Amino acid sequence: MSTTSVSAERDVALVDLVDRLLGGGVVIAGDITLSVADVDLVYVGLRALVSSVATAEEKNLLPRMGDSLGKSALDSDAFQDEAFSDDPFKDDALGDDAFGNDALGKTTP
Amino acid sequence: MIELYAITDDPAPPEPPLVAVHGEGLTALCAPAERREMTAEVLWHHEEVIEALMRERDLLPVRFGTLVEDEAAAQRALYERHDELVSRLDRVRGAVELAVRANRRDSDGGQFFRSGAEYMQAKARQAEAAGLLHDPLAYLARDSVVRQGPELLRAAYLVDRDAVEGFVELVKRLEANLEDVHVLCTGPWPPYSFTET
Repeated sequence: MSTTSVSAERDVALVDLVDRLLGGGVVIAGDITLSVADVDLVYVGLRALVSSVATAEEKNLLPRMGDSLGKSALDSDAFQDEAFSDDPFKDDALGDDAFGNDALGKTTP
Repeated sequence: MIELYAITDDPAPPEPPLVAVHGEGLTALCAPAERREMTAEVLWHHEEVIEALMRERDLLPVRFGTLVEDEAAAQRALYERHDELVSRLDRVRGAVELAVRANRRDSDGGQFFRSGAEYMQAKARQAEAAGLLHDPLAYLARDSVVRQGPELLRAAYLVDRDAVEGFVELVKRLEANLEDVHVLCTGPWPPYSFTET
Protein backbone atom coordinates (compact mmCIF):
# COMPACT_ATOMS: atom_id res chain seq x y z
CA MET A 1 0.00 0.00 0.00
CA SER A 2 1.63 3.19 -1.13
CA THR A 3 1.49 6.52 0.59
CA THR A 4 0.21 7.99 -2.64
CA SER A 5 -2.98 5.99 -2.59
CA VAL A 6 -3.59 6.85 1.03
CA SER A 7 -3.28 10.56 0.39
CA ALA A 8 -5.47 10.27 -2.69
CA GLU A 9 -8.14 8.74 -0.50
CA ARG A 10 -7.77 11.57 1.97
CA ASP A 11 -8.24 14.02 -0.86
CA VAL A 12 -11.48 12.31 -1.80
CA ALA A 13 -12.72 12.55 1.76
CA LEU A 14 -11.60 16.17 2.08
CA VAL A 15 -14.80 17.39 0.45
CA ASP A 16 -16.78 15.57 3.11
CA LEU A 17 -14.46 16.81 5.85
CA VAL A 18 -14.83 20.46 4.87
CA ASP A 19 -18.59 20.04 4.55
CA ARG A 20 -18.75 18.77 8.10
CA LEU A 21 -16.17 20.74 10.04
CA LEU A 22 -17.12 24.09 8.57
CA GLY A 23 -20.81 23.51 7.98
CA GLY A 24 -21.83 21.13 10.76
CA GLY A 25 -21.48 20.62 14.47
CA VAL A 26 -23.08 22.32 17.41
CA VAL A 27 -22.97 26.09 17.21
CA ILE A 28 -22.30 27.49 20.66
CA ALA A 29 -23.62 30.98 20.26
CA GLY A 30 -22.25 34.00 22.05
CA ASP A 31 -18.64 33.12 22.62
CA ILE A 32 -17.41 32.31 19.15
CA THR A 33 -14.42 34.41 18.30
CA LEU A 34 -13.56 32.82 14.98
CA SER A 35 -14.81 35.50 12.66
CA VAL A 36 -16.70 34.99 9.45
CA ALA A 37 -13.63 36.29 7.66
CA ASP A 38 -11.51 33.53 9.15
CA VAL A 39 -13.94 30.90 7.94
CA ASP A 40 -13.87 32.50 4.50
CA LEU A 41 -10.09 32.23 4.57
CA VAL A 42 -10.34 28.54 5.35
CA TYR A 43 -12.68 28.07 2.42
CA VAL A 44 -10.49 30.10 0.10
CA GLY A 45 -7.44 28.12 1.11
CA LEU A 46 -9.17 24.81 0.50
CA ARG A 47 -11.22 25.71 -2.52
CA ALA A 48 -8.47 24.99 -5.05
CA LEU A 49 -7.78 21.61 -3.52
CA VAL A 50 -11.42 20.65 -3.23
CA SER A 51 -12.21 21.61 -6.81
CA SER A 52 -9.19 19.71 -8.10
CA VAL A 53 -10.44 16.68 -6.21
CA ALA A 54 -13.91 17.10 -7.69
CA THR A 55 -12.39 17.21 -11.15
CA ALA A 56 -10.33 14.11 -10.50
CA GLU A 57 -13.43 12.29 -9.24
CA GLU A 58 -15.34 13.16 -12.36
CA LYS A 59 -12.57 11.74 -14.48
CA ASN A 60 -12.40 8.63 -12.33
CA LEU A 61 -8.79 9.29 -11.45
CA LEU A 62 -9.28 8.62 -7.80
CA PRO A 63 -10.32 5.39 -6.13
CA ARG A 64 -14.02 4.77 -6.09
CA MET A 65 -16.14 2.58 -3.92
CA GLY A 66 -14.50 -0.75 -3.33
CA ASP A 67 -11.05 0.48 -4.28
CA SER A 68 -11.07 2.64 -1.26
CA LEU A 69 -8.47 3.02 1.41
CA GLY A 70 -8.35 4.84 4.65
CA LYS A 71 -11.28 7.10 5.28
CA SER A 72 -13.70 5.28 3.06
CA ALA A 73 -16.30 3.26 4.88
CA LEU A 74 -16.41 0.97 1.91
CA ASP A 75 -13.10 -0.65 2.61
CA SER A 76 -14.60 -3.64 4.33
CA ASP A 77 -11.17 -5.20 4.78
CA ALA A 78 -10.22 -2.30 6.97
CA PHE A 79 -13.08 -3.21 9.28
CA GLN A 80 -11.61 -6.63 9.78
CA ASP A 81 -8.04 -5.42 10.09
CA GLU A 82 -8.89 -2.88 12.68
CA ALA A 83 -8.43 -5.19 15.63
CA PHE A 84 -4.99 -6.32 14.50
CA SER A 85 -1.72 -4.59 15.04
CA ASP A 86 -0.61 -5.16 11.47
CA ASP A 87 -3.15 -2.69 10.14
CA PRO A 88 -1.16 -0.99 7.37
CA PHE A 89 -2.29 2.47 8.49
CA LYS A 90 -0.58 2.00 11.82
CA ASP A 91 2.78 2.07 10.13
CA ASP A 92 2.51 5.12 7.98
CA ALA A 93 3.43 8.64 8.85
CA LEU A 94 -0.17 9.58 9.52
CA GLY A 95 -0.25 7.75 12.81
CA ASP A 96 -2.70 5.30 14.24
CA ASP A 97 -5.61 7.63 14.57
CA ALA A 98 -5.39 9.03 11.09
CA PHE A 99 -8.48 7.37 9.74
CA GLY A 100 -12.04 7.06 10.78
CA ASN A 101 -12.48 3.36 10.54
CA ASP A 102 -11.30 3.03 14.08
CA ALA A 103 -14.76 3.76 15.39
CA LEU A 104 -15.81 0.49 13.90
CA GLY A 105 -13.74 -1.37 16.43
CA LYS A 106 -16.79 -1.29 18.64
CA THR A 107 -19.02 -2.85 16.09
CA THR A 108 -16.74 -5.64 14.93
CA PRO A 109 -16.42 -8.36 17.52
CA MET B 1 -8.59 30.99 25.19
CA ILE B 2 -9.72 27.38 24.92
CA GLU B 3 -11.14 25.52 21.98
CA LEU B 4 -14.26 23.40 22.27
CA TYR B 5 -14.10 20.04 20.49
CA ALA B 6 -17.16 18.14 21.57
CA ILE B 7 -19.95 17.85 24.10
CA THR B 8 -20.84 14.60 25.78
CA ASP B 9 -22.63 13.28 28.84
CA ASP B 10 -19.91 10.71 29.48
CA PRO B 11 -17.84 11.98 32.42
CA ALA B 12 -14.74 9.90 31.55
CA PRO B 13 -11.61 12.06 31.39
CA PRO B 14 -10.09 12.55 27.92
CA GLU B 15 -6.42 12.11 27.05
CA PRO B 16 -4.24 15.21 27.56
CA PRO B 17 -3.99 17.86 26.27
CA LEU B 18 -7.78 17.66 26.22
CA VAL B 19 -9.56 18.57 29.42
CA ALA B 20 -13.10 17.93 30.57
CA VAL B 21 -15.27 20.79 31.80
CA HIS B 22 -18.35 19.52 33.64
CA GLY B 23 -21.67 21.23 34.08
CA GLU B 24 -25.07 19.86 35.04
CA GLY B 25 -24.41 16.31 33.85
CA LEU B 26 -22.78 17.41 30.60
CA THR B 27 -19.10 17.56 29.73
CA ALA B 28 -17.37 19.91 27.29
CA LEU B 29 -14.15 18.44 25.89
CA CYS B 30 -11.72 21.29 25.34
CA ALA B 31 -8.06 22.04 24.75
CA PRO B 32 -5.94 25.17 25.00
CA ALA B 33 -6.44 27.14 21.77
CA GLU B 34 -3.44 27.29 19.49
CA ARG B 35 -2.74 29.76 16.79
CA ARG B 36 -2.61 27.71 13.62
CA GLU B 37 -2.58 28.12 9.92
CA MET B 38 -5.73 26.82 8.37
CA THR B 39 -4.73 23.93 6.18
CA ALA B 40 -6.22 20.59 5.24
CA GLU B 41 -3.82 18.98 7.72
CA VAL B 42 -5.13 21.15 10.55
CA LEU B 43 -8.69 20.16 9.71
CA TRP B 44 -7.70 16.50 9.59
CA HIS B 45 -5.96 16.77 12.93
CA HIS B 46 -9.07 18.28 14.49
CA GLU B 47 -11.11 15.46 12.99
CA GLU B 48 -8.72 12.82 14.34
CA VAL B 49 -9.03 14.24 17.86
CA ILE B 50 -12.82 14.02 17.72
CA GLU B 51 -12.79 10.56 16.15
CA ALA B 52 -10.57 9.31 18.96
CA LEU B 53 -13.07 10.71 21.47
CA MET B 54 -15.97 9.21 19.51
CA ARG B 55 -14.49 5.73 19.84
CA GLU B 56 -15.03 5.86 23.58
CA ARG B 57 -18.22 7.86 23.96
CA ASP B 58 -21.26 9.33 22.26
CA LEU B 59 -20.74 13.00 21.55
CA LEU B 60 -21.85 16.09 19.70
CA PRO B 61 -19.01 17.60 17.67
CA VAL B 62 -18.77 21.36 18.09
CA ARG B 63 -18.48 23.61 15.03
CA PHE B 64 -14.81 23.90 14.02
CA GLY B 65 -13.13 27.02 15.38
CA THR B 66 -15.30 27.55 18.44
CA LEU B 67 -13.14 29.34 21.02
CA VAL B 68 -14.26 30.51 24.43
CA GLU B 69 -12.53 32.72 26.96
CA ASP B 70 -11.95 30.12 29.65
CA GLU B 71 -13.35 27.00 31.30
CA ALA B 72 -15.98 29.06 33.08
CA ALA B 73 -17.32 30.22 29.73
CA ALA B 74 -17.44 26.64 28.48
CA GLN B 75 -19.30 25.64 31.61
CA ARG B 76 -21.73 28.53 31.15
CA ALA B 77 -22.56 27.24 27.68
CA LEU B 78 -23.37 23.83 29.15
CA TYR B 79 -25.75 25.36 31.69
CA GLU B 80 -27.43 27.73 29.27
CA ARG B 81 -27.96 25.15 26.54
CA HIS B 82 -28.45 22.13 28.80
CA ASP B 83 -31.86 20.82 27.73
CA GLU B 84 -31.22 21.36 24.05
CA LEU B 85 -27.80 19.68 24.18
CA VAL B 86 -29.22 16.70 26.06
CA SER B 87 -31.94 16.13 23.49
CA ARG B 88 -29.44 16.45 20.65
CA LEU B 89 -27.14 13.94 22.33
CA ASP B 90 -30.02 11.52 22.73
CA ARG B 91 -30.72 11.84 19.03
CA VAL B 92 -27.23 10.67 18.00
CA ARG B 93 -26.59 8.21 20.82
CA GLY B 94 -25.10 4.95 19.54
CA ALA B 95 -24.84 6.23 15.98
CA VAL B 96 -22.25 7.60 13.56
CA GLU B 97 -22.51 9.60 10.38
CA LEU B 98 -21.80 8.30 6.89
CA ALA B 99 -21.37 10.55 3.88
CA VAL B 100 -22.57 9.55 0.42
CA ARG B 101 -21.88 11.35 -2.83
CA ALA B 102 -23.04 10.05 -6.19
CA ASN B 103 -21.87 11.23 -9.59
CA ARG B 104 -22.57 10.29 -13.16
CA ARG B 105 -19.72 8.09 -14.26
CA ASP B 106 -19.27 9.84 -17.60
CA SER B 107 -19.81 13.32 -16.24
CA ASP B 108 -17.58 15.55 -18.34
CA GLY B 109 -19.57 18.73 -17.84
CA GLY B 110 -20.11 19.05 -21.57
CA GLN B 111 -23.41 17.33 -22.03
CA PHE B 112 -25.35 18.61 -25.02
CA PHE B 113 -29.11 18.61 -25.23
CA ARG B 114 -30.93 18.99 -28.50
CA SER B 115 -34.09 20.27 -26.88
CA GLY B 116 -35.59 21.46 -23.65
CA ALA B 117 -37.53 18.22 -23.48
CA GLU B 118 -34.35 16.20 -23.71
CA TYR B 119 -32.82 18.31 -20.96
CA MET B 120 -35.86 17.78 -18.76
CA GLN B 121 -35.74 14.05 -19.39
CA ALA B 122 -32.08 13.92 -18.38
CA LYS B 123 -32.88 15.87 -15.22
CA ALA B 124 -35.70 13.48 -14.40
CA ARG B 125 -33.43 10.48 -14.87
CA GLN B 126 -30.88 12.02 -12.53
CA ALA B 127 -33.50 12.72 -9.89
CA GLU B 128 -34.73 9.15 -10.24
CA ALA B 129 -31.20 7.79 -9.79
CA ALA B 130 -30.71 9.96 -6.72
CA GLY B 131 -33.97 8.68 -5.29
CA LEU B 132 -33.13 5.05 -6.04
CA LEU B 133 -29.97 5.54 -4.03
CA HIS B 134 -31.20 7.80 -1.27
CA ASP B 135 -34.57 6.26 -0.40
CA PRO B 136 -33.34 2.82 0.66
CA LEU B 137 -30.36 4.34 2.50
CA ALA B 138 -32.60 6.78 4.33
CA TYR B 139 -34.88 3.90 5.26
CA LEU B 140 -31.99 1.97 6.78
CA ALA B 141 -30.54 5.02 8.53
CA ARG B 142 -31.85 6.54 11.72
CA ASP B 143 -31.92 9.95 10.06
CA SER B 144 -30.67 11.61 6.91
CA VAL B 145 -29.88 15.01 5.43
CA VAL B 146 -29.59 15.81 1.72
CA ARG B 147 -27.16 18.65 1.07
CA GLN B 148 -26.78 21.02 -1.81
CA GLY B 149 -23.95 20.06 -4.11
CA PRO B 150 -22.91 19.56 -7.70
CA GLU B 151 -23.44 15.80 -7.46
CA LEU B 152 -26.50 13.70 -8.27
CA LEU B 153 -26.70 13.16 -4.55
CA ARG B 154 -24.78 14.59 -1.62
CA ALA B 155 -26.19 13.28 1.62
CA ALA B 156 -25.39 12.41 5.21
CA TYR B 157 -26.87 9.46 7.07
CA LEU B 158 -27.05 8.85 10.80
CA VAL B 159 -26.44 5.12 11.18
CA ASP B 160 -26.39 2.91 14.26
CA ARG B 161 -22.83 1.86 15.03
CA ASP B 162 -23.67 -1.80 14.55
CA ALA B 163 -25.48 -1.14 11.26
CA VAL B 164 -22.55 0.54 9.48
CA GLU B 165 -21.41 -2.60 7.74
CA GLY B 166 -24.90 -3.35 6.49
CA PHE B 167 -25.25 0.23 5.28
CA VAL B 168 -22.01 -0.03 3.30
CA GLU B 169 -23.15 -3.31 1.76
CA LEU B 170 -26.41 -1.66 0.73
CA VAL B 171 -24.50 1.21 -0.90
CA LYS B 172 -22.52 -1.32 -2.94
CA ARG B 173 -25.64 -3.19 -4.02
CA LEU B 174 -27.45 0.00 -4.99
CA GLU B 175 -24.47 1.25 -6.96
CA ALA B 176 -24.30 -2.04 -8.84
CA ASN B 177 -27.92 -1.55 -9.89
CA LEU B 178 -27.40 1.97 -11.17
CA GLU B 179 -25.84 2.29 -14.57
CA ASP B 180 -23.41 5.14 -15.10
CA VAL B 181 -23.43 6.23 -11.48
CA HIS B 182 -20.52 5.94 -9.12
CA VAL B 183 -20.85 6.37 -5.43
CA LEU B 184 -18.40 7.61 -2.84
CA CYS B 185 -19.15 6.67 0.73
CA THR B 186 -16.92 7.94 3.53
CA GLY B 187 -16.96 7.64 7.26
CA PRO B 188 -17.77 6.89 9.91
CA TRP B 189 -17.77 10.55 10.87
CA PRO B 190 -18.84 12.14 14.12
CA PRO B 191 -22.48 13.19 13.71
CA TYR B 192 -21.72 16.70 12.40
CA SER B 193 -24.84 16.86 10.26
CA PHE B 194 -27.22 15.82 13.03
CA THR B 195 -26.49 18.29 15.79
CA GLU B 196 -29.42 20.57 15.04
CA THR B 197 -32.91 19.75 16.21
